[in-house]
Amino acid sequence: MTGLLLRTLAVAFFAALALLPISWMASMAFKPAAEWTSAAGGLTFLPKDPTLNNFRYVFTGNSPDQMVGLDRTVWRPLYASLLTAISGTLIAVICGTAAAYAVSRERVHESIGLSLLQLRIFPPLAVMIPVMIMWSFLGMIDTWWGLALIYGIVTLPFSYWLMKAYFDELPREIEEAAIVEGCTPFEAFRQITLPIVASAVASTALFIFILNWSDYLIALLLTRKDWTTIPVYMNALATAASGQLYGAKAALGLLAAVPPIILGISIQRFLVRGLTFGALKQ
Amino acid sequence: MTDATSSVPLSVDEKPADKLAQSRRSLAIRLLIPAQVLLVFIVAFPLIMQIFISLTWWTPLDGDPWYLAWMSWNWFDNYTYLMQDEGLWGSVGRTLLFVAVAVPIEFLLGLTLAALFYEGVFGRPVLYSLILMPMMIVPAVAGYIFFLIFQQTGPLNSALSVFWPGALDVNWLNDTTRAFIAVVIADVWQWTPLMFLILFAGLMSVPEDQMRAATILGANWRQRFFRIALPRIKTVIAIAIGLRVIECFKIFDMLFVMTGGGPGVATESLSLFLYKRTFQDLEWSYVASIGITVLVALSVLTAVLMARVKKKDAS
Amino acid sequence: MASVTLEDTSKTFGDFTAVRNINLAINDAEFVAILGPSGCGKSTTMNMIAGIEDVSGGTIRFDGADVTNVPMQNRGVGFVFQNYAIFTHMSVRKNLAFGLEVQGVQQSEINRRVEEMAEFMALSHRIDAPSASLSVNELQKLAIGRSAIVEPSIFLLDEPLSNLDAAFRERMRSDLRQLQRSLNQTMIYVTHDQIEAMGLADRIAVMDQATLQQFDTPENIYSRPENTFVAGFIGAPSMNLVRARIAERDGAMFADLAGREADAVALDDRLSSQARTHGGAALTFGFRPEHLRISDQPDAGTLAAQVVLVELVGRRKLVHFSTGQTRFVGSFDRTVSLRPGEAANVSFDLGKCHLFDPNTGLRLQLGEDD
Repeated sequence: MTGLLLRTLAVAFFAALALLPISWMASMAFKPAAEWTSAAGGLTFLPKDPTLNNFRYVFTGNSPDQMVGLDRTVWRPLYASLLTAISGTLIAVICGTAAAYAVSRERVHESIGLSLLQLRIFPPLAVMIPVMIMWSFLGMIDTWWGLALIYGIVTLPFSYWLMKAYFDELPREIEEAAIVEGCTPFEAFRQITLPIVASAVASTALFIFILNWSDYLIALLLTRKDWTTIPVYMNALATAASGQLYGAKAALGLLAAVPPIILGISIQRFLVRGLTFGALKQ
Repeated sequence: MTDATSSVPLSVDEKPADKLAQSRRSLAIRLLIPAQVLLVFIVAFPLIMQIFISLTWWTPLDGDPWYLAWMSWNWFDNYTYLMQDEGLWGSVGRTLLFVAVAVPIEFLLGLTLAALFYEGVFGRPVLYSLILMPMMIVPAVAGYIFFLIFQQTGPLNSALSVFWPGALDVNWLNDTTRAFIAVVIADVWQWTPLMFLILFAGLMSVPEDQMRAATILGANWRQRFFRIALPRIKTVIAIAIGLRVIECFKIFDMLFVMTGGGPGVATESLSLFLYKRTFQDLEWSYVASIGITVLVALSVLTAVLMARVKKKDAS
Repeated sequence: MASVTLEDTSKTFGDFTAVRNINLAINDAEFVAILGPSGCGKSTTMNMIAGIEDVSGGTIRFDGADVTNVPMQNRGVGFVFQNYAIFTHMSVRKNLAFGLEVQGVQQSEINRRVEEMAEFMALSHRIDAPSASLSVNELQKLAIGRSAIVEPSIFLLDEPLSNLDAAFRERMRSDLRQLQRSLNQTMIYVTHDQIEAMGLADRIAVMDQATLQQFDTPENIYSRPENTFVAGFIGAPSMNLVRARIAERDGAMFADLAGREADAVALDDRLSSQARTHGGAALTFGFRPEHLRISDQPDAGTLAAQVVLVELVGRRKLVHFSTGQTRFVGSFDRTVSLRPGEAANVSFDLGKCHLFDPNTGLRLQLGEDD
């Protein structure tokens, strides 16, 4: 009994440590400018005078707290993040699932798995220069499809490895039964196999969406003004006379952080599988 | 069987089966095409381009388009230069140091958490979700959170000043050692949950009966953990550490947002070094050569490790 | 000294009662089998004795000492799991040594005893092999050896032989018995195989649906079952249990087994007294297949029946009879000639037959020896 209590306390301590920074940012998001640093006096954890001004500022460009307005509000980056993350996810999931099925069932081109794995091992900056040149050459810089395409390829290894693990576990008999009834192999795949792995595909898609949404580097390199995503927008937020926009940035951080947290919690059970490329299950 | 029936031509029954096998194979090949196209277009082709550029002096400052880069051909000069580039090796060393400090801490903390959870705690589902939250935070945002926290006038100093008044004078992000410590703390905060997640899953896969058998034979908690549980999850541990080392080596978002590599180069990882050379100095062909070198080094490393893993599986 | 006593021990999982108030007194150095069909609660009972499960009610005593709340690592019992639970990442030697190592025994002593046990279990030639490479039979022996090496005074085995092939099972049975006798241990053995239980145990605890049905020697369980469950569960083929209408005629008791009053079977004195005392009009008549006889002449003690099926099983001939209303099986010598479709007159070795209450299933008995 006491062991249980002590262990719970220890874990609760870690959980508190985990939560503290996040709640600090959340609290900063609701603090007026005067409470952003301890320069004006002591810092308190909760805002003494909670306000929505930070959110007002980033959504409308103006706020009672700030003298200078923003020339770009968060609406466009929000849209950009959503569009590119979703499209990138679609690309990765469709190509990855198809490839995984092909390799799992027919054992063709098994080397593709290894190539995809190497993709994840290389530091992005080591290979981004030619990509930037190509994208610029093809007019894909600062476009949503240019960004989505890279997102798709960069997360393809995850969807491939994950779906391959699921297909490997699925007995071939399932399709064979359908083929005996007269389906073509493709029909069997589409009408029999896919519905069975539908929830796996959904979890994979959510997982990849989180990765794409959380990207910073690629968006930093491949977007300029029109299609910056939230993380890039957030970091660059500044005006000539504003100084450090702690509160506004905290509000943006909160905005950016909430969707992955919600999605992440909903696919918790899936995370081990996703993060180890399907090598482990839970 | 060598009787007469074996020389009879294939019966009508066998042809449809062949056709089926063929149509399945052709479906498979077609399903692979999208992924292969992506790989060729966005991996193979740029790679060739990168090798090409790495052998020149070209930068965008030249004003010429990239395909005219051959005009400033310089063979392997970039590569010989990078061997002696102190900045490069400094950043590599710093990155390795960072990995060597952060990952073991994450591993030990993660293992401790996993062990605590394994032995049982109250409110497991809630605590589990809470513990996992840091790793779901967008890394750039996490970087910003710790940027806020480590401000001289920020919450950490304020909290510490309750016990120690001098805390308010401590500058974290502008001191070379303290900045390094700060980013390590940030990384540990964000990624210990990942270690925990994987290691806990591993512990849960240890067959319960074996743990019971050990307990009945008189083993206490420590003996069970170190003699039964831990040895059984050796592969899981290797995967967890391997994954973390790879990701940690690539670190960019958090550092860029938190310190920008500073003060000076105190927290400049390899990725940050490459970023600066690319966007501040615009030395694109040089960065291309570094990129190729990194690619080759990592490929060799993975090939060696894969070979060792294959050997172990075979034995 | 290690007697095991369960006093009113019970175990519930939420709404489900796995073990209902069991009272069991096992003597020191006794070999007891807990026998019953799947789901009867035998494994749960064993787990409570080992401490793997907490008791929901009642007490468990070892040698009179209350161990109900003692955690499993301190109970000093040996436990062999059904799936052996061998530490597959360790060698045979390390598996055997484990129990001694965690107790802090001297290394030289450990080596000696490990080699001794390996010898005893015929595993010496594999002693340094990884335990994952062992065959099922070898794993079984290792599991037993690993538990036995710490010389527990109480040894618990959960269906240890069910995964083995038949020939090996026989050998292991006698090896187990030998082990138990030589170490003078109290051995408690869970199984669903009655042949095993009947052959190995000093006493058998028969369980069904979370309750203890009977705890007695194999002999008594066989010839004096306490209720219809035990009667029907033990014996292969099992005891025939037929509903009988009881009537008194001319001062004698008759059992109508076929719905034909004229063909009722006359009961002997013992059974008649039981039936009279009970007073009911209907009883369950139990007779084992081997207690059926074929008579040439129909008389008061016979029943007319038709042969439906004849099976050859081993050295015996199993004949299935039908009286139109009931069916039952008789077991005869191979030489008996009966063919399907033939009519026969069967009689009963009444001294070995039993009467049971049709509602409670309890066997009728008038005295201790009945």
